[in-house]
Amino acid sequence: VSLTDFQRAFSDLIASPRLVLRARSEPAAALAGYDLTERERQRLAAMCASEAMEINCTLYRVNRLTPIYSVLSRTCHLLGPALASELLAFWEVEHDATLQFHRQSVRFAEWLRERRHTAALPGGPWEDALRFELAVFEARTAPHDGDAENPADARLRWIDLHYDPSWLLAAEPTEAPTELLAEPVWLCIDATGPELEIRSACAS
Amino acid sequence: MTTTGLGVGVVYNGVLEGFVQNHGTVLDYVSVIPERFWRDLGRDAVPRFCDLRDDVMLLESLGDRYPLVAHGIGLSIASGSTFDLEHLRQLASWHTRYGFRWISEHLSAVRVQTGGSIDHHAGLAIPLPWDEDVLAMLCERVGVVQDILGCQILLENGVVHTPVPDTDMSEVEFLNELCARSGCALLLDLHNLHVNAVNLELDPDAFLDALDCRHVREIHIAGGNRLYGVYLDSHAGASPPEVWRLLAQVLPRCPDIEGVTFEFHESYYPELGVEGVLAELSRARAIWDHRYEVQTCHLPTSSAHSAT
Repeated sequence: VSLTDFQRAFSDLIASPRLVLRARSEPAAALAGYDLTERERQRLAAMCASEAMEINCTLYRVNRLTPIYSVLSRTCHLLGPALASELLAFWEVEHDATLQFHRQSVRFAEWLRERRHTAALPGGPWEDALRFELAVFEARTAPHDGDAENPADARLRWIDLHYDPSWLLAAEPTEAPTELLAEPVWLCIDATGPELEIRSACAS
Repeated sequence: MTTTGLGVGVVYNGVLEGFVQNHGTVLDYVSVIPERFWRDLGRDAVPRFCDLRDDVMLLESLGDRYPLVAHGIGLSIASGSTFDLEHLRQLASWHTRYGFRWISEHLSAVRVQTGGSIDHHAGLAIPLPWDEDVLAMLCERVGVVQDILGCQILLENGVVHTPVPDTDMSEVEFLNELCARSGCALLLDLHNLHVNAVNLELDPDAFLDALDCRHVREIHIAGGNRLYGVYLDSHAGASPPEVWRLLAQVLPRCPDIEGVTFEFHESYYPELGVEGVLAELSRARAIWDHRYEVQTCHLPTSSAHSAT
């Protein structure tokens, strides 16, 4: 139990610079919630006193962001200044993280949708980017054979977009549109062949 | 007695597809990260693991051309809260499928217990206390790992920015003891050693002098860069001169060495380029080819070795 709690405490510390600062000034209080030996308490207090804890906290954020950014890079850009606060809030409540790109991206997508649903986060083109990037990733990584209920379709996805999609399809990043379309457009994302194809759904 | 070994290889990443097609003859083997070829749907999922088919096809084409070695990143063998036997059995099944020449993992704890899970990914390797009780736990786990895999496991020395103070032994003593007691081998990452030497002002030569190099079966070389003044194990391109010096120094001391592996992060490939990768492999090969020309009888100076 002792090693388990030592590792849990360190994990909490690198996730929270605020907790590190508290452990520097009030180590006993900051570490009171962990089942530690006196030796482990002293070790953690000494580690927190090190300036290098700051790089630990930074690397924690880099490593948690990497799987999400790898799949949802445009979404992250479009969230702009809101990204940092959304990530921190997401990480604070997510206590079963993994470095599997897919699971982390889906969970962050669910988080953002819920925040949008409760009006905690304003809508915008990031919602189109989220649908698009997640669908592309899922189509590319789905099994070719599909499953019993949906044979051969697992690598074929349809998404509805509410802004002009040309910016999402451009090879080079372009500015996202700001005007909502009068009617949503549908795109088909097709990864059934050797190359990914994206086409207007009405053409499929 | 010395082994012939495989030679010089690379840790495979997505940007190397063209490199392998055009320059594949410079590689003696390819090291792959098995977790990149399957999706782990979580402990509650049935089945828990599913292949990423496109990636598996790529792996099979690599396996047709090269000896494959596995470099795992997901076991977290030093976690106090969890020892993931399902993950281990998945790795074993892949060993059966692809006949890895050897399998390595990290001597690390990255999964921790939280309110929601016994294996929450901490986002960073947690510094290990080089203590007797941790050593005992690891020796027991290595035994299980090797039983399930049916082969020896290689464990890699890591990077630490805030080492655990007041430990029972030093890192190198711990590594010597772990290999001697459990029968595992060592993947000696020279860049990780260099990172620790730079940031913690350690003496890498003293580390290597104390290391029982009979346990070393693979060596990793890599490059890094700085962030806020701290030198990072970021695999950011070419290996620095100090890593080459350490490689030339330690390689002749490793009688059972199987290979020297260059690793870089794919995001740095535009900067490194084909020529950069070729240069790293060529330089590693030159050192590899001449590794036993100047034979030295080098015994570790660590007192821990006397116990073996």
